Amino acid sequence: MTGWQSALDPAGVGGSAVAALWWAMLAMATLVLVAVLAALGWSLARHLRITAVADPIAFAARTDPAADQQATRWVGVAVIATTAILLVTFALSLGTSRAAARLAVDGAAEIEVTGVQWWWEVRYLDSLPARIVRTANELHLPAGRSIRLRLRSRDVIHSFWAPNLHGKMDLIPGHDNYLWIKAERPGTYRAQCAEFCGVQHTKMAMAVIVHAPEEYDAWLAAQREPVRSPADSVALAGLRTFEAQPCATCHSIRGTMAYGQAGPDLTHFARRRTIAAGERPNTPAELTAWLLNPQGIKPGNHMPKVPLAADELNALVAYLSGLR
Amino acid sequence: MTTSGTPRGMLFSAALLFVAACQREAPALPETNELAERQSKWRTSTLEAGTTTRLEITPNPYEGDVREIAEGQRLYSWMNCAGCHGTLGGGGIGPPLADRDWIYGGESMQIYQSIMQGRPNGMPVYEGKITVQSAWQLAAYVRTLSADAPSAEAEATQQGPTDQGTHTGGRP
Repeated sequence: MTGWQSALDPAGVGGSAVAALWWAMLAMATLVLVAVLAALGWSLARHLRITAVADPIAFAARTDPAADQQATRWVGVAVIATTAILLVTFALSLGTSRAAARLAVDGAAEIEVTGVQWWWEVRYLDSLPARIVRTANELHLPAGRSIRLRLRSRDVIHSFWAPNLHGKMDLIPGHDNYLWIKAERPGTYRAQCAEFCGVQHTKMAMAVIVHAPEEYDAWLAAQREPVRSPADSVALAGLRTFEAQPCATCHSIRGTMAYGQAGPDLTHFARRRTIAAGERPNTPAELTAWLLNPQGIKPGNHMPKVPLAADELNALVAYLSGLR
Repeated sequence: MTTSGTPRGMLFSAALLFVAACQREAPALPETNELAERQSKWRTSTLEAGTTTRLEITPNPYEGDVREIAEGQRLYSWMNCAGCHGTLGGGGIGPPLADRDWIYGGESMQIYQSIMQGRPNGMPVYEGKITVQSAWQLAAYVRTLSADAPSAEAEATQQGPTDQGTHTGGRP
């Protein structure tokens, strides 16, 4: 029942409400199953009793007002029980919605999550445009604070689903959806696209990291900083390669000449846990494999294979791995 | 009795179908070196000092490939081609791409060259900014923009009397 992508291991208000509803429905469904199986067993036993009678046809044709009345009574009980179950389930699901709706507060921080084939763009919004942070494939949340997620899509319908924190919400092109979320337990969880969105739908995941509030503020402040020019010559050559090769056409790194918008922002790239939207751990070896042939790791994804000389590739990996 | 009637034969046919269905998603990208080699052979113009040589036409490896054309369509938006040439190539600051008039040639190879080498009066150089594959994908997509454009003859015949309000689309 535990896990970093489990609706039964809630770490937030919405997740707790969903888990409670899940357990209640499981209990009711179990009761119904036991009752139906008991009724089936009883009728089978009765059938065996009747076939033992000398003339079953005459037995079936007989009239027995007492037995008819009893049968009618049982049908009545079943109808009342079914109605009660429906009403209780309805009330429970209203309660779940209410618990989620209570998260809405004035002046809450807003985070924009945009689904793109096949990665996530995350922007930490601010009233001052210069303070907006654009990152990718990782969602950082402060524990104990209500956050308003603005969900968007750049291409097709995606769905944001972090089971430990809340239920699903679709990301629809041309339409903003909002999901109120409140994480309570710090830790690392996993969100996954929950609406089929193309060939690499399964490899469209995102780490959700819940920090203690002061830790979150420090993280956000660090993310606002542009990157510094690297000190060592290999990494510096990597920066030159990044700017001169097609990399910079799609990716941006704040503090450099690279400001492409089509691909994920790579500012503070080395702080991220994974590459390729949760597909591989962020290590120099995996990054090298990815740069050598992105189509080998996520076939059909929109990153082209950029031909690089061996020394260019090494320098690029050294530079990106140092973007803390 | 044929093999396709037996369960094993049917299984084999199903496996064949499955393999054929998978083919579509596997992009067959020509090796970059091969593309670069082709690129070095091209010339914009047949005019040259001395003797005249025939212009070697290199076909677009992605012509008619649905997946690559879709990729080209994405690049058209991401690289902001629409900023000058208009959405769907309708034209704007730059010349339209959805008609049959080509200033620097409408062959795939010539479109590729216009993208990679740039053209006077505003078309920037994309060599080094996008990969060779991306440029071919873009060229394949740009060619599709004018697929429905009326040809010169069709436009001439359209000058004749037509009913008010009906739109023939210029197709022959």
